Amino acid sequence: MRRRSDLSSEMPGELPLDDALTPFAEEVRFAVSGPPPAPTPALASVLAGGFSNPTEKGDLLVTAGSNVHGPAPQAAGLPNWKEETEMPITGFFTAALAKLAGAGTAAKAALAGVTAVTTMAMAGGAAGVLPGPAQTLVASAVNAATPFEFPGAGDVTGTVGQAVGSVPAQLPVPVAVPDVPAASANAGAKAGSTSASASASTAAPASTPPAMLPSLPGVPGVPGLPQVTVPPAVSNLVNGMPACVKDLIPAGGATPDPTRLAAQIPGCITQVLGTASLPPEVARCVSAILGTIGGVSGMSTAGVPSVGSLNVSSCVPMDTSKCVSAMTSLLATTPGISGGGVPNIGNLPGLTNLTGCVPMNVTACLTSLTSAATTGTTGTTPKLDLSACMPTGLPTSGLPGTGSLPGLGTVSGLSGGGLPGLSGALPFFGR
Amino acid sequence: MGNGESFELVLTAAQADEAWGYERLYRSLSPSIHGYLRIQGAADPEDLTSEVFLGAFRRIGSFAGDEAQFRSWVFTIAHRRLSDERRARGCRPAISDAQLPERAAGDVEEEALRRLSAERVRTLCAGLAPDQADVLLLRLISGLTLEAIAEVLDKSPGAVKALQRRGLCALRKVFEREGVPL
Repeated sequence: MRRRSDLSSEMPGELPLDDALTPFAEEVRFAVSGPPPAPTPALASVLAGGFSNPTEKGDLLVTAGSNVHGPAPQAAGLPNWKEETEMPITGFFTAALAKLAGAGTAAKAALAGVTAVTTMAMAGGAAGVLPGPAQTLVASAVNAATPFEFPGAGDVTGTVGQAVGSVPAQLPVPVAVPDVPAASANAGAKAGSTSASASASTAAPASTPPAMLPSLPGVPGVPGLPQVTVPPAVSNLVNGMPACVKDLIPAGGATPDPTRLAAQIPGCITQVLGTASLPPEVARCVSAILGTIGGVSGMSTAGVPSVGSLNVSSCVPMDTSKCVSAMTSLLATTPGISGGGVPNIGNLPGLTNLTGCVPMNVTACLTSLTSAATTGTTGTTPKLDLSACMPTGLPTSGLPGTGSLPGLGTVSGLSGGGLPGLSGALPFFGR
Repeated sequence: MGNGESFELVLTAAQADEAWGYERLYRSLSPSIHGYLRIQGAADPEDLTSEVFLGAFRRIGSFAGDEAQFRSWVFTIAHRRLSDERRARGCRPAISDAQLPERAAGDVEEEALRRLSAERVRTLCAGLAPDQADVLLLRLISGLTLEAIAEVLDKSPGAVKALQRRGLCALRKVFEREGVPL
């Protein structure tokens, strides 16, 4: 039995009890065991919908029982829980846009037209292109402001078909896909298709609802990009949201005006981003994408942003312009390529001149590109594995600067159709 | 937290006004809060438990800390609500569980045994000074450290340690004198 003097030598959080007192402790612990008590109606409402979205549900046991295992797997046609994988970013953005997300279906539907093309384009092309935090950040913004699902950073290894699969069959407004050069004038050019339709480039319609696009085969997984350190300031934004966020919702809880919201939101997001002290690389990338949305207001079809205006060059952690130009020039000048022949990798000259492409596995990338050329010229389905062309081993900070990205249609070796399928697999590399 | 979720994830969800975050926190902590209030003789421990969590959730945006600190924070709110209720009633009541509108869910036999246990504990604690009972119950129910309890009770750690020691001695004397079988 422990003596009184032993009481001072206790473990933290553990009450020192001798044998005589142990039954008392067990009695106390048993007395306080059991299920949670039934909450009052006020608390039950909060547990069911939070403070910003109170419900009339007063029975916790029913509500809680259906939600005890957390967010359910995504089910078609139902609202999805947002998977939170990077809390500093998503937490801040969830908070910043929570009021917008709670603005009601009408407001969200009104914004859908503005963001439909951008969402789809980003879903298809940005998967794996954006640095992880930026991917999550943009995904949070789009998911909060629209009824669409945008792939998060954890989804970058998925296929484009999976990424755009949740786009609803009926968009709120008709979406005009801008005309594209012959080399990319197929449906896949805007959705990352690598299907056989790539070779039938002249048959692409000028205006095609995204929902009518053919199903997309798997696009090769893209290796994870380096993570950008998220500053602590981001997580503190929950307590310091700019006033513009509150201004999104009219006083008195009235339904926001969709047109006004469309004008307000981009500026507000920019303001929020400005206070977040994001790394410059991430801020540039996000601003580039949000800028596309921000350039549009109202709900007219003409106001739908052009996919071609979406400039994600700042999201690619390498000098893509130089890299692609160097690579395509190299291929175009290789004997046999313009006529459909496949160059021998081992004989390719000037590998050291591929400026802007490093760090990457140049040989593997070229092998992939020329394989696509091979299948394209033989009439089979072009298959382009861009994963070999992505940069590797980049540092977690100080990403190299990016230049403006020219349209691939102006790059030699593409306009003539020398690399069928390449444009379709690079929906963001110009039009 | 349950379901393999980290406390940080749940807390962030609650701070973003996500209902599931609130619910996880409530499910995790409400049994012990409710038990503490019931043994301490709260007039309506269920309603008081709801008030405690409503107050905590309203201010959860200002909270920063880990799970142990959150537990301490909620128990602090609970203890202060209990003190307010005691002051409002003017005395510490001796309320039997038969008078309380207890939760109906769960196993009836288990619930009956829990009520008997709570009644025995309350009878034993009635022989202690109120501060001693507070310290011992907080240690046993909340699992908080002496330092955390000192913050809850707004006392120094040394004073809490002394109260714990005297409370344990008093209980031991009761057991030795009366041979109370628990």
